[in-house]
Amino acid sequence: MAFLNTVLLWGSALASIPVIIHLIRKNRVKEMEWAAMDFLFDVVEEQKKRFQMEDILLLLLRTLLILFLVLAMARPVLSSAGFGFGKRDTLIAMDDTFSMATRSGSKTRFDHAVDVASGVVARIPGSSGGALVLQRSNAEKVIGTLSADHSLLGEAVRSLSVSDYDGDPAAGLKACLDIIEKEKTPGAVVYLISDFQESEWKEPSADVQEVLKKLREKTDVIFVNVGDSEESNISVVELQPLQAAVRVGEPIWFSVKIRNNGKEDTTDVPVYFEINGAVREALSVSIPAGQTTSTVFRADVESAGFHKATVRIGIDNNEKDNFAFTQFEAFEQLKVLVLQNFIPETIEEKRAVFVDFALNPYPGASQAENALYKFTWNSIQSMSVDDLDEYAFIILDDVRALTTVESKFLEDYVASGGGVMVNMGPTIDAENYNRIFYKDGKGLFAWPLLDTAVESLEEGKYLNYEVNNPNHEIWSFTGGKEVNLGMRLKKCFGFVSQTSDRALSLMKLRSEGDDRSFMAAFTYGRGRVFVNGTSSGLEWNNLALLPTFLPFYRKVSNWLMNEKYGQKKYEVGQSYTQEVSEEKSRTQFEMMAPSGSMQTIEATISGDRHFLNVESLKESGVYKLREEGKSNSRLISVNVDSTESQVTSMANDDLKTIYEPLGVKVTDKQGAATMTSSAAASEISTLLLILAILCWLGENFLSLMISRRGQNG
Amino acid sequence: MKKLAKYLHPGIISRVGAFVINPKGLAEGNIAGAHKSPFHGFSVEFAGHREYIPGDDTKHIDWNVYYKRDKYFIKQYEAETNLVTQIFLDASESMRFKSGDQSKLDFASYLAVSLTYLVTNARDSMGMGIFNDKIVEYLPPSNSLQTVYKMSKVLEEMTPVKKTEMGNSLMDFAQRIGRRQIVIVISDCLLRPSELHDGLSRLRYDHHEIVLFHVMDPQEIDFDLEGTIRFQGMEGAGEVKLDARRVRKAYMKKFEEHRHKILDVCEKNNTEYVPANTGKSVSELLMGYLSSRLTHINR
Repeated sequence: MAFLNTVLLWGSALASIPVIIHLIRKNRVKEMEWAAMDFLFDVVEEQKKRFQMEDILLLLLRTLLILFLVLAMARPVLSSAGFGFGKRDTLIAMDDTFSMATRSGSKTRFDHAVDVASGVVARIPGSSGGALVLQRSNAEKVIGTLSADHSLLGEAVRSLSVSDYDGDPAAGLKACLDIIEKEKTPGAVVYLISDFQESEWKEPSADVQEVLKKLREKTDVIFVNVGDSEESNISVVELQPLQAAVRVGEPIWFSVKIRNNGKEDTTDVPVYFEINGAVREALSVSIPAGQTTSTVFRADVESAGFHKATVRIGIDNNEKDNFAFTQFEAFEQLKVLVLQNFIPETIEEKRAVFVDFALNPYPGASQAENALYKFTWNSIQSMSVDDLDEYAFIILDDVRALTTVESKFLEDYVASGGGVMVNMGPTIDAENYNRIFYKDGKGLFAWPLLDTAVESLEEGKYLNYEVNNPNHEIWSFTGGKEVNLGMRLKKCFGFVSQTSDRALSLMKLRSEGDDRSFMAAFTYGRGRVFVNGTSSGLEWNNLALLPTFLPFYRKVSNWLMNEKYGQKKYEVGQSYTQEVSEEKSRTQFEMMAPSGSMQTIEATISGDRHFLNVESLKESGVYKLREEGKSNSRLISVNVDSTESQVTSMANDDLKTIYEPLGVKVTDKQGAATMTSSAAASEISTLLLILAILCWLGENFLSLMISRRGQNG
Repeated sequence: MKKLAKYLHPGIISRVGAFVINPKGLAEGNIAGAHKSPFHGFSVEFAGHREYIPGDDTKHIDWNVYYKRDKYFIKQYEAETNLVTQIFLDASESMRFKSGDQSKLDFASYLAVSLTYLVTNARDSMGMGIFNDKIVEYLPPSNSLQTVYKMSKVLEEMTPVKKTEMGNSLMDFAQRIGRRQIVIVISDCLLRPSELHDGLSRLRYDHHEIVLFHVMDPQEIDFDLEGTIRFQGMEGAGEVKLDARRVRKAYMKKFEEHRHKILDVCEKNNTEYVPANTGKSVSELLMGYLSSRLTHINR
């Protein structure tokens, strides 16, 4: 038998108190002369044995009362091998999110968690089952059925390592609830071993409360907090190329954001920028507490194809978020097709020349030698379906009207992953656009276009507008929250917003009683459509003259090309899907994880389309997807969720304040040993408490008897 | 100012001073007095005749009867005598016990002196024997008020020692006194009932009217004590240590049994039993006792 609160065993010395009191009282005797001694002698003679018995019994009851109480508080535990009773199935929900990699001293939080979990496994009563769940956003049932093979469970615990996943308080608990409901095991106990980050646990969501309530109806839930007081952690929040594509030999800029998640300022944090594993640039940054700093790295590559960019910072308390990855594709040149009502001859007739200059900021724009984007001007009538796939994206600039065939060409192009930018203008036939592009929501436009353009009628007055969805990646160059382009809008076509899952308003008119978008983003098949209801020229607005014009159109072009050129950003835990053509659907693809492990992927069919599916990208880093028999790989960069980088753990008292009212027991890693065998311990403690109560009742009864005997009559 | 008699308390006397102790039966006094004597004598009231026997004083021969009956007859009269009361007071060591201000002996002394006052005040005689394991003091009967002071003095100087030996002491006392007297025994009766029985039987044999004042301390009755106490016995009874609260009920039962045995002995020996609780006042006790006695006699 072991004791969970061994310190309290010192309290067993208290059991001597009744004996001491007895001895003290025995020596504290009053003396008095007495005349009627014969009666006392008679009484003593008659009841001597009875008094002795009562004295011994009282002393015994009082001593046992204290002893039982102390033992109950010390919480004795029968070892699992020792006795058959105390059967209690145990579920361990182990937090393996990357915040658990935070190091304090020689051990990480996860090391402590493994110790605690191993202790729990070691104390599972003999015939009881055990299960193991990973507590994270993509909760995983490592051992999803209750297994009586404790050595297997222990081995599974010891083989765990910190993942790159972020946390989700409800996910692991739901997985435990699934097991409990499936196994229908009564009186089980769930141990959730985590660092209980403030960012996730301080305010339990309704979901968490609901799951906890259901769990508590069926089991005991114990939170074991392996968190520590470590709060400092610097993380790379973002690494992204500022261009969608890169020309070989031409510079490319990368935006990097680094956050100080701690509560103290930090200085001289070394930051290294690498292309394909080679350091290209290094610098030091200082970041105030709780702030994010941004910096830009410049690089170029010498060959076409996919390249990997990495940013890493110096070692800190948590190394998991010290990296960020992205991939980009380098080209000799990307082609952009601009379609107008006619083939422009002069630069004045080239309406999209501002976009050309925005993407190719060189003299001569796309005509320059180092221009990445090669702009080709053509008339809508000359558009041919055969050559559309060679264009990175297509611009329709003030095209008055399209035929059904022309629109079909564009639809096929977009559906297969292409991007179309539609700039409105003075010649637009709205009725034709609705018929050709809207098609009751089935065309490239998810929303119908207003029949006529909206115009500011007063001289010197402009239309009021505001930015919608400021967190959309097109607005990322602005920093998000409040976007002010400083544009003066005179006239525009607008959409009537409708409910649609493939439409998003980017700018809307803010006139009285009206809520109309004049800039919208639509998805269609695998491709994207961007519609600018006002002109790309200077007739209806002054956007082309503003400094924001350049980053704005770069972002738009990035967004249009994302699908096609694979710059989609992934986070750990997300699934990966890629549509492949029918002839490639029979080909095997190999995916190599950042850790080097290989996975073979075969296409799956959904409807008449073929997809490569990876259910979950489990590691941060750059995956390589290679077609069987090919030497070049497609790169897929996967980053950790930066919210998990807030490693500050909740104090145990705070955790108790919040979760004990929800019926959860809370302990720390030291107390975990105390709680671990509370299954058997609680039963023995209860038994001891009952015995203590019986002793107390017996003592009271005996005292009452003696007292009543002392009363008159 | 020094008191003339410590145990003659004005408070008591003022309350019971008007009472007179009369014998319930006939008294054999030593002088002519106010009480009926069992003897036919030659006093005032004619009682009858009896035949002359040689030795009778010839002056009491009723010559008129001689003339009629031709036999000598002696004239007889109802004799009247004074009352002699004896107090037989226990001064053993156990009488020293007290839980309040006064010991059992003090209480007994007040009682004895007050009774003496009542008796001598009625021109009757009062004598007193003080005993423990034997008679340690004896004051012959006297009807002088000086007896009160003398008795008080003796009691003041009395130190209660030794064991109670009432049987032998009463035997001895009975031999010292006459017959048909009132004998008032004042004792805590912490003795074997058989011993009391022997003593009282002896007194009863001499046709004494016996009254037993059983002096008890309230603590002896109620045993209202707390905690562990080492009881040191008086009269060399040894000692015992015990939790007073736990033995109280058993002790009280024992004490009550003993009192009933004493009462039985009294009933068997035609002895009037008067419980005397030292927690109450002597005057209260005397008032109660004398009133009941008066009622009893008049009935």
